[in-house]
Amino acid sequence: MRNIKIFCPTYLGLILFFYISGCAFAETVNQGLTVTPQHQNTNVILISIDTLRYDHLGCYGYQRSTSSNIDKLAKQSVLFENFIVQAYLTPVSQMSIFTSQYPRVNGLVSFESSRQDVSLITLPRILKYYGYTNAAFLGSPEFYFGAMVTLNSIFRDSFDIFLPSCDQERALPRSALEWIATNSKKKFFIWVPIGTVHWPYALNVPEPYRSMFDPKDYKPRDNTQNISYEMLKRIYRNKYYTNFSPQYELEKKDVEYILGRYDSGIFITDKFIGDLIRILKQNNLFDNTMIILHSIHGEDLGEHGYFQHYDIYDTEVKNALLIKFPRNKFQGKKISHQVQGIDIMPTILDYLDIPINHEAQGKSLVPLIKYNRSDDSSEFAYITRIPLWEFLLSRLILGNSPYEHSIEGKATSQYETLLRQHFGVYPDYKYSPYDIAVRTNKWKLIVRMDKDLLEKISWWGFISREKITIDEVELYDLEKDPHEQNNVVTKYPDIVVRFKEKLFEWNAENDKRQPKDIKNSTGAIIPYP
Amino acid sequence: MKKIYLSILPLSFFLFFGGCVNQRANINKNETQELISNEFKYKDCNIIFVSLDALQAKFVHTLGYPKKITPTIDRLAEKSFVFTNAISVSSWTVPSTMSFFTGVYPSEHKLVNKFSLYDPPLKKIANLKNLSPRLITLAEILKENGYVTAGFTGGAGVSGVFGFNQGFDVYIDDVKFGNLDYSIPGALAWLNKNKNRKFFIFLHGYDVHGQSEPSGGFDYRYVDKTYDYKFKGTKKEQEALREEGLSQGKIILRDNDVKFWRAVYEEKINRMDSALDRFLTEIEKLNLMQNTILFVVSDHGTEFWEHNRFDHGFTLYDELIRIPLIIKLPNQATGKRIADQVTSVDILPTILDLLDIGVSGSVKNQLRGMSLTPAFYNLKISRDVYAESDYRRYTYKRALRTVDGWKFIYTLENKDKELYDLRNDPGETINLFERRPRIAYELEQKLFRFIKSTGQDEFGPWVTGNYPVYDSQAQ
Repeated sequence: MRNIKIFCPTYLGLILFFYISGCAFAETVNQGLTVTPQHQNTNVILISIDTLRYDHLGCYGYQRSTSSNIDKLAKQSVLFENFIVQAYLTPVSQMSIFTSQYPRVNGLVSFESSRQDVSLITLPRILKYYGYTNAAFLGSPEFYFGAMVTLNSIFRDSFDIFLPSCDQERALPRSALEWIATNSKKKFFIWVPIGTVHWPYALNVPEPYRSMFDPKDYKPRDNTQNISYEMLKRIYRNKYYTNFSPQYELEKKDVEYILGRYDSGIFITDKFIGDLIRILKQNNLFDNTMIILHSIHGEDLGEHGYFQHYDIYDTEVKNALLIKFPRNKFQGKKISHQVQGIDIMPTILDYLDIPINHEAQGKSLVPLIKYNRSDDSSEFAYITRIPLWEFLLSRLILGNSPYEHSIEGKATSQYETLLRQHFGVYPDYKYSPYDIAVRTNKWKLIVRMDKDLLEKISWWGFISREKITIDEVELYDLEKDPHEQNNVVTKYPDIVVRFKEKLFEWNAENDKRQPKDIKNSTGAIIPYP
Repeated sequence: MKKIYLSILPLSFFLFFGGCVNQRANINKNETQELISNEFKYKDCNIIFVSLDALQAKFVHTLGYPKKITPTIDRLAEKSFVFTNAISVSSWTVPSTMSFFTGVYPSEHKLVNKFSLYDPPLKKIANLKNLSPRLITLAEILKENGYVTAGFTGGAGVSGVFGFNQGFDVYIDDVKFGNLDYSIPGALAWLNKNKNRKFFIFLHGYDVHGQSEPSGGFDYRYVDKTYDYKFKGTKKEQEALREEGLSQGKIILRDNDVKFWRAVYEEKINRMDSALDRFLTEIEKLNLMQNTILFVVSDHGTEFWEHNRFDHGFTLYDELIRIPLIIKLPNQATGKRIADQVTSVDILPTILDLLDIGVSGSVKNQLRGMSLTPAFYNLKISRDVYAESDYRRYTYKRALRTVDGWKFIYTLENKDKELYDLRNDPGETINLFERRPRIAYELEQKLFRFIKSTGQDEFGPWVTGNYPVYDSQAQ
């Protein structure tokens, strides 16, 4: 103990040192336990593809190679095999996704809804609160129509950048790619609605892609170089009608041709997605970006006698959904439990560690992805429908429209009168009562609240002069009859009763949550005794 | 030398570990509370619970009011625990007071209006036993534990008919908006008779309430000499102002009228303070204080045009929900001010804790607040607090007041949202809802988690009614 003068202070110093470092260590552990929230360093891209049939994608089993880039993305994503949207109409379905609310509750039920009717607590608005730069590059005109619809002001809300691809209708929104390259340092939420799959099929598809899926040695019939709406709306049950009589019956190759052109639209969309992913990787953004790719709604491709989105069968409402998480977390998982469009917003917010809006009707799919328990999915999905096509005909198309109906002449104006009788004249319009549906992975039950009206006004009935019969209640066994061809409502009365109960319970709940006119109050306030 | 260095190694581990443990011990308050559990226990002590209806915390001198209008309360505060940030769960008498006695929020005890059914000619008076049969009140619990119980009140909003008399041996409410001068004699007589038994007494008066006038009339002791007495301060005038505020959304008054009404309020407070002094003096004479815990609270405040209206119940601003909360323990000689934000549903658990009364699981589950006694040991118990009001089918509001000074108010019938930064804007005059959207969003989600937790359906329906209600409003 020679150097005691040096030793003791050293010893004391060491004691103090270790004690304090113990304190500091515990404090750091406590601090470290509060993790950095994901929204501080995660970008989000929402790719919404209009009119895309999930089963025309390779990753969902399509035999044709229409989607090599999407398939590659799918391998790094979670893929949902039973993703159901709440409506077959583009803005209605999309708003449901943005608000996580059924259409009647958020107020956007058709193309006519105006800004004050609609709930604006949307995904972009909430992300903005958390410092995101919101940019939309739109290839779907449904979100910025001018004229009598005011959807622009609704969807534009909370976007710092809102760029329609105006140069050509439904062109691919390539401006997204440039923007990403020049804004890679920002924390962004990008929304890319894509309209290239929507009719006119193959409108924006250049050769050689345009005819890549055409049947061999096929020569398109007259008027069918462009598969426009004008053409498609005259096809019913494989016959092409003008002047109320079938001009020809579609042959197998004709149908193949139509589908081939539809698929070429998917092909070109897929190329664009490939470019998008490439830009992200080039700018070192791919790893920390959450990518959600979904169809806004699907398309009936002849399964019910027509080629368009017209009703709420699985062809239109069962959609593609892929979610790629940052750093490919959860990659390769396939979820077969049913999920809904209203679940997308809660999932994004949950992953980003942002509280979910209490008014959201959907739920986060993160627990489902983690544990794959059916409790965390939607056993029942709900869909609503208004007969928009006939409604639009009464307002936009037959009256002052670019479409030619001179072929049918006087009968057309009679039909127009009939439609206006039912739907009214703008601005005093009204929709027919809704069709509502409930779906599980096994059953779909559809209730048509006014089937007589639907029969009377049916466009198909008009052009074909066929008597259209619509069942008030439709029940489909989705396992045995996935294309919903065979209404088995009389075979399973118990299922019908049970599902109707669930459906009407949901219907009442949604009516209750609808934005109401609060001035309609009853009685007096309670006196102060 | 080597041996010494070797001994340092295990020692250093011990010290390091000790440092860790020290840090962690500060974090886990509950454990500490259980360690020091015996100091604030007063088994079989008496409870005197005084509720000074409609007294705004801000107007109490010891809580910051510049004028010395509350000498008794100030003196009492010097020897008591004074909570300077106590928040009531509602802004009017019926729901607030029932929350004192049940320890649950108004939406849970459901005594949210005086009528549970009002559809003239159909009328049904709200009653706790009918609305929430499974709830047990403070008086009932104490009675089960051998206490004699009595209430001496000013009637009206705390009438026994609503269920306030549950568990009380004696419950006086046979006056409408009675003052302490009415309640005190009966209370003293009863105390005299029962001073040798363990008792719980609820003393209540409407002295500062708008519907009460001082006996003998006002003397306008604080009114500006130049005032022209356009108003006289009568209950009819206050009622008219209240109803006008409701039907118009705001009242237009001259500055000197507002000053007058606040001066009238000050007078009522000053006179109430004297009545309280008389009561406390008599209690001393009866030698009860060494075995008694005294609570002095208010159930809510009163608005005097802070938001352009009069009276209470229809908003959740601070002038209505900040209440005095004073707890004097037996033989307590020194005071302590506690700034932690606490809620009025903490009162029931505090009483049970102080009296060391064990309760069954179902009662424990009933309690939505926590005991305030850890604050007596300097432990931090500040929490976010919530308030509710379902006012006469006129409006339905819910509020969240956070520990870091934010107030978020949501109006259910029209989804109006208000956000106030109480630190910089204590008067709640600037609605920051659009300027601070992220905070507003997060507080809204918190508030709705609370709303869901009380079993309410956020979609109501929140039915509102029409004006006018009765003739007196036509003035």
